[in-house]
Amino acid sequence: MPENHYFHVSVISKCPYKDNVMRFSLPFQVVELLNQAALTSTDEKLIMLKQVCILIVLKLLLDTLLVVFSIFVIRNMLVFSNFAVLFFSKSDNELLLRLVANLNMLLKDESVNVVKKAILTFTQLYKATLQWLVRSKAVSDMQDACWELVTQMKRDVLALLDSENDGVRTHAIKFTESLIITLSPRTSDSDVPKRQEGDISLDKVPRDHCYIRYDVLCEEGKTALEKLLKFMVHPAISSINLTTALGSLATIARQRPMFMSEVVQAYETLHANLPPTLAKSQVSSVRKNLKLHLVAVLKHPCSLEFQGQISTLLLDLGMPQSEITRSTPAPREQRKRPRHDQYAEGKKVKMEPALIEDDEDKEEPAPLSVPKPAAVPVVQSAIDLTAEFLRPLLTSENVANLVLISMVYLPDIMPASFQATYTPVESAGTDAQIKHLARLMATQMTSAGIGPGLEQCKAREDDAGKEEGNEDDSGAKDLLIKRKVPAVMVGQAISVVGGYSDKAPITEAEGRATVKRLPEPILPTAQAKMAGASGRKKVFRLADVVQPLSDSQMEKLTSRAVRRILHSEKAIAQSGMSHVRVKLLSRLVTQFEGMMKEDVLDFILEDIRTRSDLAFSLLFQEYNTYLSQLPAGLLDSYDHCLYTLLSGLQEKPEQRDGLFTKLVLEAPIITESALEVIRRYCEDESRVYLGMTTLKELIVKRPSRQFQYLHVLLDLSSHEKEKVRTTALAFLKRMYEKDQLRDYIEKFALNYMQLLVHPNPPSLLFGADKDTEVAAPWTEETVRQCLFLYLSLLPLNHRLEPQELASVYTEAIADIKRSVLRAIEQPIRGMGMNSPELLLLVENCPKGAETLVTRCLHILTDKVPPSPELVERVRDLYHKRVPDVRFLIPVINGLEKNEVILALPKLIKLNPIVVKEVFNRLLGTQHSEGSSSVSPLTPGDLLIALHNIDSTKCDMKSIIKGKPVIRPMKLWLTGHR
Amino acid sequence: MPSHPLRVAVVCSSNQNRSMEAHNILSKRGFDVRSFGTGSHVKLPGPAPDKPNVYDFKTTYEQMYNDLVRKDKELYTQNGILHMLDRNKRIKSKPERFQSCKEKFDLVITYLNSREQETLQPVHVINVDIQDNHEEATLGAFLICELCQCIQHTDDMENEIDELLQEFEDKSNRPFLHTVCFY
Repeated sequence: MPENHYFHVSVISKCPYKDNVMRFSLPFQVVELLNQAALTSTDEKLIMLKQVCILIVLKLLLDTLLVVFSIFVIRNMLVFSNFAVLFFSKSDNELLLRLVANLNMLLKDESVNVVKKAILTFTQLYKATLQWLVRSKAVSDMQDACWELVTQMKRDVLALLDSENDGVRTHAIKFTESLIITLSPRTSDSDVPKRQEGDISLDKVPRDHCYIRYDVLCEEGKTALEKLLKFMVHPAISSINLTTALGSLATIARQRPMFMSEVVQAYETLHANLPPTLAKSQVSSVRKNLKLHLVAVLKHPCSLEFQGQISTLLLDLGMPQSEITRSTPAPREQRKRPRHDQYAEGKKVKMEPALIEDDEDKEEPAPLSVPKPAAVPVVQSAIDLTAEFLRPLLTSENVANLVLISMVYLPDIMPASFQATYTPVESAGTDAQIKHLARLMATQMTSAGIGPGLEQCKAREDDAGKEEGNEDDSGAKDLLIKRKVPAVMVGQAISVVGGYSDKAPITEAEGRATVKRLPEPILPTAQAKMAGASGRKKVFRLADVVQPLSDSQMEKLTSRAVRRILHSEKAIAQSGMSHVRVKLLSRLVTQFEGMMKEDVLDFILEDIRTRSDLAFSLLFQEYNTYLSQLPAGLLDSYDHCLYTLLSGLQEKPEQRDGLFTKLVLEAPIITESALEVIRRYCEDESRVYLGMTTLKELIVKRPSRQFQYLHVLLDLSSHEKEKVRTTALAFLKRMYEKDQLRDYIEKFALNYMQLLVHPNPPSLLFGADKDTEVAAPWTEETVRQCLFLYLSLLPLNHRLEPQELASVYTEAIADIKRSVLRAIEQPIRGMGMNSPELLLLVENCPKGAETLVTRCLHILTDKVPPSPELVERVRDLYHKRVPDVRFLIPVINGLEKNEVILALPKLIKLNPIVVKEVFNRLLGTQHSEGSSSVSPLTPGDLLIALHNIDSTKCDMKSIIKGKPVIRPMKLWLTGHR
Repeated sequence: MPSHPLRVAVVCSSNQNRSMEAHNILSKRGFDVRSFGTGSHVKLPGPAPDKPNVYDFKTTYEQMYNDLVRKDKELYTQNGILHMLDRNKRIKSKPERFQSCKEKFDLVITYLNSREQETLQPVHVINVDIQDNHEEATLGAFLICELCQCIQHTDDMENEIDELLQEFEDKSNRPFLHTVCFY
């Protein structure tokens, strides 16, 4: 690149510090360069950016440009993070702080890609910052601020492990990996990649550094590892995150063999509990990765004590034994293993393995250099303890029972992870296999938070916690010692006061070496928090392992459950616990909304005869719920329940009818809609009697609402179906005898009758809304509907004021009048002519009601002769108020002879039919058994009277008209003779 | 959508048939693609199954073509090898070994890499099962191309690739092994 080179040179050469022109133009140049860089290919871009770097390092207008530059680097998604760090590690103080602040901002950028790049850059920057601080002898305020910020950012990035974005989590995992490696000491057996040889790690931090505290960092590294392990056992981890975490663990194990035991145990746990969310191919990907990383770990010389576990896993993953053997390091390398214990001394101690023959000897230098008692017995992890506890218990009988019990929990569909991992058990029943089984079970139990091992460990941890508290200030060395993961041999004395149980599961590692293939335990639910690699008890949190069901799923599951209870009817009945089932069902159904309510009601109605207990229980439960929610409670669901039950009964013709009555009478409240059903029931001609009996019972037994019920019955009294109507009327007549109901019934009857004054029948009669009038004209039927009740009550209570009827009558139209005249016959006759009210009516005959009164008179005297009182009234009326001769006709037999003779001329003038009736009456032919009635005129008298009629008072025409009328009289005369 | 076109590497054993077919199609569709072989040698079918033609990765497609024409023009025309080499030499001059490539990609199809990590930049590796014959290679190339197009159109590739692959798996009825490596 001659041009660039030239540029480079030209910038340098032209760049005397005090050249103001240059100062001015530099930012321009830098921006120009950056613009160019954005457009060119990667290689050229690098060169250009290097030039920019040089320009900036020249410290010309740093402030502005730095911001531009760092954002440019990261924003453009290029792979310049390394370059950026290189740049900043070369520059000093202020620059770094500015960059860190900048990066902090980018970490919170809304673009996921920027955040990812920021994490990558920060990964490098963290190391650079640490290095920078370690190198400086004295720490300025600015450095202090910078480190503060970096530490804060480190926390932020670790928190991103819980990010919602898969990619961000992946990057956070890688950062965690790098952090763990940086914050732990490199040892002689660390497998450090060439490129990272220069990287800072904890062993390069002087213990007596004025600012950076060795032990604090070490602690942070540990925490990060714990976080990573915890992250990995999350049941809903994505396959990519899992793959990444697996790789990170492998890297950690190889670079920091002190963590190998945690890593191997994490692998073990994962293998036994693959996340249930993985699809089939993801399972194979994860297993492939696991195999790859296990081999990588196995190749490391420090894997020796874990060879048993690793090769068991590899065998399970389908790797042939020969390949495993090939990847296993030669045993002599074991000698190197204890060395990493020496990092406690803060420097690499070259042990001479030839001098010390066995591990016990080798370990001795460590305890010696530690001011702690070395006599603490080896601590086994909770899993080891539980496994040991379980082993003698795994007899054939116990195992068989366990299998039988757990059958129930097997999922319906074989999970992908099981399918992928299942291999037949070849060594079943052997001692080694039992050991392995015990350990697998122990792993599960520990992660579920149970087992004797866990309790012991907890107790131990508590003790250790106390101790730790006491010696907090005893120096960094102690802390470090505590955190070591030594290669423990059984019975060896290693200080593990910190409670970070150094699981060195020697016993089972040995046992496992001989175990070949083992079945994988499949748990119905995702594995809960694994106890991490530290064997420390983690608090089980339900929220971590359960996912909320969707609403529809919940609905489905609950209604299925209810359905199962419903259909277990017979089985439960046989066991004699039906009442429990009924109670359970009614409680369940009333507590939850949804489809199940319908299901249960349908179920009841299918065979209500045998399921009536459930029906009642449900109804009462609903009412209970309503009561318990008072005053805010709604009757809706109670109403719905009652309504459905009643309608079901009403619609099923073959049902035993007593149940309907029973249900109505036992229901705590009859709602509007229920009343509607009762009404429908009453309208059914085949069951009208029963329905009304029920209604009557309601009226009698539920006084608080009796008028409401009564109203239904009253309504029915004008029903169009005759049977319904007459039954209702019959019931009402009986009701009428009760004092408390009488007024209401009367009022209703009168109101109804009042309707007749309307020109058209109100729609009330047709069941529609009240007060709207329909245009249909009155018919005989509708008129009668309005009168039925009134008229049927009249004979019972004469005080019902026939006056009312008369006044209505006068106002009504002609059609109605006719109908009324026809309708009143029965009741008027029922009242009898002795009724004072009726007599009063005759006496007061309102204007316009003459025809009505006449009709009444006719009816009254149709069969029996008029009573003297009646005659008196009529006479009175005739003489004093309405001189209409027609009034006299019905009572003519009761009149005096001279009165008849006086009226005769007027009577003769009437219509021949009427005249004929008059004569009939006079001659006594009216009443077949009219012996009791004595006519005021004998036939002879009558004839004489006729002939004596004064022609001035009555013209001859009328007399002649009367002749045909006389003919029967003649007959009578001849017949009589 | 990622801010830059997806950088894709397609890898098979000899960088002749499967990877080149995919290379051909992907580059026509505008992807930034490179193809590689991972074997120690480039192997092409010979007159008998046990007598393959073996070349090293330095041999150009042109040289292989000429060599086979000289050996048995009819046989290699008939089995399509000459046709394939002819296509390959128009795409690039010679096969490349993935192990010796220094470039970084977003997506590697069919290879598990073992380079040392440095920047921790992730690369997604997808392994698609494709038999080494002309028909399968063509089908596979189209499948890969479709996959790449879908990935290119995701808003956030890393967040969505999981589901996308599941979908493809169901659709194509082939297992896709998916992992992530870091540069």
